Amino acid sequence: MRFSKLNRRTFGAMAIGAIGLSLTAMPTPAAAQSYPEKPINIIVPTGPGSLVDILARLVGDGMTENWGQQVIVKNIGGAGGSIGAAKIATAEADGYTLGFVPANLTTHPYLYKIKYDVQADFDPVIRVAGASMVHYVNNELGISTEEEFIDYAKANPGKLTFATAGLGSAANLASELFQTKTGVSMKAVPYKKLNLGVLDVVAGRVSTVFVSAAQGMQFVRDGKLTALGITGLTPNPGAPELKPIAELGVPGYEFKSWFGFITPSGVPSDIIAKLNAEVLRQTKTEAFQQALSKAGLELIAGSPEEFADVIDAELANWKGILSK
Amino acid sequence: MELINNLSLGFSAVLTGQNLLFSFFGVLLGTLIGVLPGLGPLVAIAVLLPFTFGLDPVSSMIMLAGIFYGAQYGGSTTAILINLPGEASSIVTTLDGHEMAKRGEAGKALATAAIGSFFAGCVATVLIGVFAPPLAELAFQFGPAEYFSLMVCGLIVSVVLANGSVLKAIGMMVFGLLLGLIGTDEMTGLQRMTLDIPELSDGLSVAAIAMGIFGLGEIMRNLEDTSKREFSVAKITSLMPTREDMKLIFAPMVRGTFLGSFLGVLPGGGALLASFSAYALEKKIAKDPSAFGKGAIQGVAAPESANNAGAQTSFIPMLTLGIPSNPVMALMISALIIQGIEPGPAVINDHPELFWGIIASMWIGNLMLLVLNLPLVGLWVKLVSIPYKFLFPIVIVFACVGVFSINNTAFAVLTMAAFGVLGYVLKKLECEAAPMILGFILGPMMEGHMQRALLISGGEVSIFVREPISAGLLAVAAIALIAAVLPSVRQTRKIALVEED
Repeated sequence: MRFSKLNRRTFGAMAIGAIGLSLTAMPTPAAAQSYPEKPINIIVPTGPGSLVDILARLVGDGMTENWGQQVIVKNIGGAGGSIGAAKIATAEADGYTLGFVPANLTTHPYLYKIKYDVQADFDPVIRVAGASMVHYVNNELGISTEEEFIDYAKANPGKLTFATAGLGSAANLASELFQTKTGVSMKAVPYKKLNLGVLDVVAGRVSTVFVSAAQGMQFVRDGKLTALGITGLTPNPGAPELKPIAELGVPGYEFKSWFGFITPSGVPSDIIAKLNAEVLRQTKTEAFQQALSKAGLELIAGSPEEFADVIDAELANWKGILSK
Repeated sequence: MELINNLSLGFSAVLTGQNLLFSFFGVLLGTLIGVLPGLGPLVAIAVLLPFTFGLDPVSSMIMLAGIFYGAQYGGSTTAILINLPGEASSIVTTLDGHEMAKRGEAGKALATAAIGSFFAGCVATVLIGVFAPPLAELAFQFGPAEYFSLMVCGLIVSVVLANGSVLKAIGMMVFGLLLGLIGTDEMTGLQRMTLDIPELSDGLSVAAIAMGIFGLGEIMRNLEDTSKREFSVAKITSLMPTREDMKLIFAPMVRGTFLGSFLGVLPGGGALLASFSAYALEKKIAKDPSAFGKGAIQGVAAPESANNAGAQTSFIPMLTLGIPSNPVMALMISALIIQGIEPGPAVINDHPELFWGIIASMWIGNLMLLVLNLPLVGLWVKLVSIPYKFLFPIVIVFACVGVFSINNTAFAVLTMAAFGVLGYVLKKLECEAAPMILGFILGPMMEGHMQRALLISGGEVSIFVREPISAGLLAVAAIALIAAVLPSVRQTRKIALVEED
């Protein structure tokens, strides 16, 4: 169980540390060849049981099997993930500490008091998966298109409410972006867990919500919610009939959640490449594919460069919206 | 018919080799910690929590549930044989159980306790199966206003029902509410009372507080007690009660079961309250109340049935509403969240094998306990003679490992230590910690629901009385509060509590 793993890990780390000390003088040109030589930690900035955590453990178990080195998932939750992110930022950049983080990483500078720089203190490894969300609205409002929604919201400023999972959550970000792009104004109703919020939209207590296809399409099929559009630009496998909001009268609207692996900055690029390839391999397993489709996620599995570009673009985007 | 279908689904989930093993392990461990004084189910569950990650949800829950109701059995064994209640809910069992043992009827008392518990377990299992699904259906109608009023109602009822001074209970509850305020405000994202400590931004950990107060605090108090624990173990003679005994205990068993089942559902209720109330009830309606305290077999049957029934029915609000009625249930919720399952009305439909599996496992677990307890009584009693100096360091180590590994932070261990000291002080001041923990757990949930209700209503407070369910719940709370301060009721409450002491 976990206790024994911990023990083994500490013991292993000490032993390897001792060997490592005697070898530091020798040059190691191809660090990636012998990597990994000791257990790897994956820091997940949420508590156990979250989707991030489940995906991290799936990848971690696969890596353990393939590399013969323990890959240990450590949950360091709190403050929207900024406590865990700080731990990743300050860990040694030797490739033995990774982080598996959700998309709100790029909102940290604008929402939390943090000591790390999202661009300078992390090296992106791979953006694993992501999904667009669906824009749902309660049936009783009689709204059936995105344009009607915007007209209604403009005619009744401040009347509509949207459910979120708190500041910085994907539901909140998608809604904030929607308000910025359309100029409508709605009131946020924060929930600890968004499933209660979705139920309140179903019951008509809250007007609208941006949430995954997996969490809402069942209510659309039951005739309790109306789905207006998707937040991404490409079709969402969980709701293939829906069009992007950007094509429905809100040009330039795009929001996609993602989960990706990062390391502290300064990890040798050949190790990053090895990690990227290994995670890519793990995403092909049946167990991982199943977990993805259950959560309504699409595989992204891009390059470190692609991930870096996304981080840069999102940081710039949220700067304008969140630091108002 | 649907109930039978559902239960058979539950049994098919539980009747696998692996799950039977986990159920067995749970009840075995539960009995063990029930036997050992100063070690409750709460500490055991908190320690095991991080280890349940690798299990599947059904295995994890039936093991933890087994610990909870197994502890009710174990506690009564030592209460009867050596006048030492291993569990708080077995305190009343010592009154008549140990008297019976002194009279040479230890076997009969043990059998009565076991049969009573088994009977209650079976009935409570059916009650959960019958009442939980419609309750969950009702819960779908609950919005923020209803949840808020339900929690107000729960907190007030728990204070009214608490042992000892109402004033202290209110004070403790409010203290718990204040502790619950620590962390990030859900609405604005502002930090409250976090002293710029990042670990406090998500609030204090329930597990750390509960382990500190009920684990470390209890240990400190036990260590202070330097009097040698000397006891004579009563001899166990014939086990089976006679036909006459069975006649005597049947009615108390039934009454205890239903009273316990009812009290278990209430917030702040559960096993402890159930056993005390059932004993008081039996004494009140007995033809010869003076026999109680001198070895009346009814005085064993009723509370033992009640505490087991209460332990089991306290799962109802947890599984259907996602609201914990006591600290153990709060940890159960954590255990479910670790598995990626959000407790609430959707659990029955989304995870039927889990829901009905837990219920079926209770019946199987009770059967195991019946078989396990009677033949192994001798072994359990020997365990009590383990010197405390060997026992408490083990408990402390496990507590530290358990609390640390939930979020991999030493801060939680420090929190536990601080609350250990607080727990000791509270014991000295005779302040009950249960209302505090309940306030701490329900407070943040209540606040969130209130904020949401007001947001939705556009700031109109009347939403709480405009919605019929919400208004009804608030009315119940008001009546409970008025009743508690009315002189005539206060008098009876006092008498009832004096009797129980």
